[in-house]
Amino acid sequence: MDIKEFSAAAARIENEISREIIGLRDTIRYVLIAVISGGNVLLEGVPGLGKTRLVKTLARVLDLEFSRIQFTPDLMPSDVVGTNVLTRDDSGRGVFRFQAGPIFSNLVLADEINRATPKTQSALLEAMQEHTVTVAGVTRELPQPYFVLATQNPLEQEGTYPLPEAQLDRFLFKLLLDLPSLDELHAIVDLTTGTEQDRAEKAADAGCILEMRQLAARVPLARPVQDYALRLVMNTHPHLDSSPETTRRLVRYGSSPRGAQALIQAAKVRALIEGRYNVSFEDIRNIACPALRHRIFLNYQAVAEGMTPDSVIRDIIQATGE
Amino acid sequence: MKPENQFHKTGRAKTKWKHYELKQAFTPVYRRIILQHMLRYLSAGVLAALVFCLLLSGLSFLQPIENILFLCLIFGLTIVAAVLAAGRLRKPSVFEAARIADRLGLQEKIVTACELDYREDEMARLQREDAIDSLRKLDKGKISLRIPGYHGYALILLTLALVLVQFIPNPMDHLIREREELRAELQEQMEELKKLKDESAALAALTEEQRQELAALVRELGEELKNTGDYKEALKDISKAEEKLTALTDRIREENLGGLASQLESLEETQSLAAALSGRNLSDLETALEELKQQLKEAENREELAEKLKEALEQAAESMPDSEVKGKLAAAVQSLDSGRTEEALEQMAESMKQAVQASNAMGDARYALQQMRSSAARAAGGGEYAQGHGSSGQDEGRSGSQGNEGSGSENTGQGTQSGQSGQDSGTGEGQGTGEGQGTGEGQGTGEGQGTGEGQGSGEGSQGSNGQGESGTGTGSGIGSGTGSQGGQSGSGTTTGSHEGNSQTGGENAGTVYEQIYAPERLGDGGEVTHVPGQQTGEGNISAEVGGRGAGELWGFIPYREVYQEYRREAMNSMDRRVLPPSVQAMVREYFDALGQ
Repeated sequence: MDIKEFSAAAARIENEISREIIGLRDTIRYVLIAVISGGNVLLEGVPGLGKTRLVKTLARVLDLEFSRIQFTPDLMPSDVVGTNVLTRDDSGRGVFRFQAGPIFSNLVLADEINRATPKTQSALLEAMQEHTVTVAGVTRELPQPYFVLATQNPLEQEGTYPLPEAQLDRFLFKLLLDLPSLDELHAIVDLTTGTEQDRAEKAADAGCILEMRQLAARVPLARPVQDYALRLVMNTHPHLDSSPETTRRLVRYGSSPRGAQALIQAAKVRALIEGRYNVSFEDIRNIACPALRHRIFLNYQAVAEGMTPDSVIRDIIQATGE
Repeated sequence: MKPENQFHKTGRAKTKWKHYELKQAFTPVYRRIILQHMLRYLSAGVLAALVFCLLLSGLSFLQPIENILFLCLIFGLTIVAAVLAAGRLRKPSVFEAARIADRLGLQEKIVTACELDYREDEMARLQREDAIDSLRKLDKGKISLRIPGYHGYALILLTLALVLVQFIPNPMDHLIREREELRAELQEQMEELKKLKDESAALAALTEEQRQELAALVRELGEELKNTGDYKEALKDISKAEEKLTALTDRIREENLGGLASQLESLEETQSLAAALSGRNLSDLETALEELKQQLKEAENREELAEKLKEALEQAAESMPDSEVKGKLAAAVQSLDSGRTEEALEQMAESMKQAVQASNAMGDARYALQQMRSSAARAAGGGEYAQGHGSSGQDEGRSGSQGNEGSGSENTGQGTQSGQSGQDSGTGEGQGTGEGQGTGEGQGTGEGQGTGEGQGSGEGSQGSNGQGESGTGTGSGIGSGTGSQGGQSGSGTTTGSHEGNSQTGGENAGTVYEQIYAPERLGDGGEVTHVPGQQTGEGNISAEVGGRGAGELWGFIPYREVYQEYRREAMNSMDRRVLPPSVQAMVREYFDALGQ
């Protein structure tokens, strides 16, 4: 695969998804970047914005095995990863057989992930990071490509379990879904309430995604650009003297090194999608918010001032010179 | 670890390109970036130069700065050159230029391509081709060759300010002009002095050692005056040189004449000869020699006298430094020994004249130095000199009246002179009007001891009528030179007529004081002497007596006390051979008359 094929494939995937998902162009782009990068995505938005539909459409367009896990407080880890069940073999002896959970798919939709208990949430940790699952001492590889798309509702906080920092850090992106505009809403209503519904077709497959991932990994990154990305991450840490005043005043914890990895990884994919063989400063800036917003934790001062992680990140970008 | 190519290692060094196509595509862009960089430094340099020129122009209103335009030009160009040199040193490296090019919309393609120049893998090749393609398509016009906007505004503002400053009258300009005149004058006088040193026949009478001392003195003075712009400093230097010259003259006199004169003084018959020798008066010397000749012919003890004379001459010859004079004295001794009295006397006369000439040889040089000092004072012109001179002019008016045997009590007058006319306030009972006319020129010289000399002549008449103790009287204007030294000096011509009233004759009829020293003006430790200038009947001087005046005895000494010093200096001045004997006699008569 070369860059033209890459760009063409990416454009195809985006166009197909857009047939079913109205608006959300940026979200689609970021989800695609995350998929190609091999990262997981946390989608946050009020109900009815099309989060689940987006994931399902994506699975169909990419022709990937899809499974959906509806997270509830009584969901157990074994319900997610699977468990050993006692069965009888052909000779009639009782044996344990591993019953794979829904996590064993290419694309896993963890719907309302914050409704499950931390214990169940943590069941996803290994799968998300290592792409393996260990049950009863046996580690099993997950199918490739593999990624988790989780959703959470920012409004209903009662009876939820906020994701721990370690869990959040496993997500490549955290994407915020906004309400559609009036025109987009017209299109959504037209699309979903009529008799004929446009249906997205397959635009790529697992092999294609893996090839695109390999190509993206080879995209060169100039030292100044890499330096810029790393300085951006460093500037999210309030204890460093070199950090901007906004960080020192409003941030409690900064991004982990995974944030830097996420930035670079995703920026490479974006460069290819944009038709470039190299990463630019603009790629880094574009990726910064989705890659870092769930990795920096604001203090009470920031909350009191109504600041959001995105506004802080924008300030940091402004304060970080190329 | 990512391998580093030389692109990273050499922050500013020239990159060695591995791929010619990339270099070829990048070079035009790089050149234009360098040009843009240098243009910005040029405009910054011009800005810095303009700021410097503006500051210098501002400073020139507080301090006299000569050749300011030349200085502005030289320093301005130097600043521009220095800034350009700094720009050359800080020239963007290939790495920096690549980043600049990337900011023109190339999205880090160039800097990445430069980094990957050492790589041959597929992705690097594709990236390089992409970068080359982008470079070829790049509109070079995006690399603007215009100077930054704020530079342009600043350049216009500074240029306007600089032009505007040139039209503002600068109070320091006249000081600069005076300095230039002073320098030119000193240079001219210095040339004269050197010429004199090299060509004067009188100086030929000096020994080689003495000539070398004189040459060293002239050279030293020339060095000190070379760049002087301050007439006070110049006068100090000249005075210092004059002091040295005086010391040298005294030594030469002592060497040439001291021994001979003391030997002759020991004999009663040759005392007049010794006096003429000490006075370095050639006519007196001839007269004395004639008398001695008569005595050697007619005196009863002529043989004894000849013997004594021979012994005296022998001893004098021993201490004579000038070998030629020494030889002549020795010849005179031989002539006396062999009884050829007339021949001996002729030889004596010759040797003595030569010794006198040698001792007088410095007269021209001293005169030249005096001229130089006068010129320096003249060139100093107005300003401080004029200010200092004003008071002397004022005093001249007074001395003019006081010189009239105390009868013409006037102290107001009008006059024109170099300097400003002073005004004193005072009260007096006498009233009178008078007019005086006088012409003359004054020259003043002086040294640390506050000596001065002046010469000139003038006459005038003054009529006055008034009431008071002094009644009426006629006054005659006195023309005299003004001279000063040290911090303030000068000479000038004063013309004036006097009419005035107030000061009573009774006050003036007593001790007559004249302002000779003005120590309050010394400042730097020098001394100032004011000698009345010459007066003519033209112009008017107005003054009223008041404040510090003669009556307070402040800064004044009686004239008689300085008369001897004046006379001595006048005699010394006459050492110059260029002054005709008749004029010398006139001067002597003048001082004799004053002393009576």
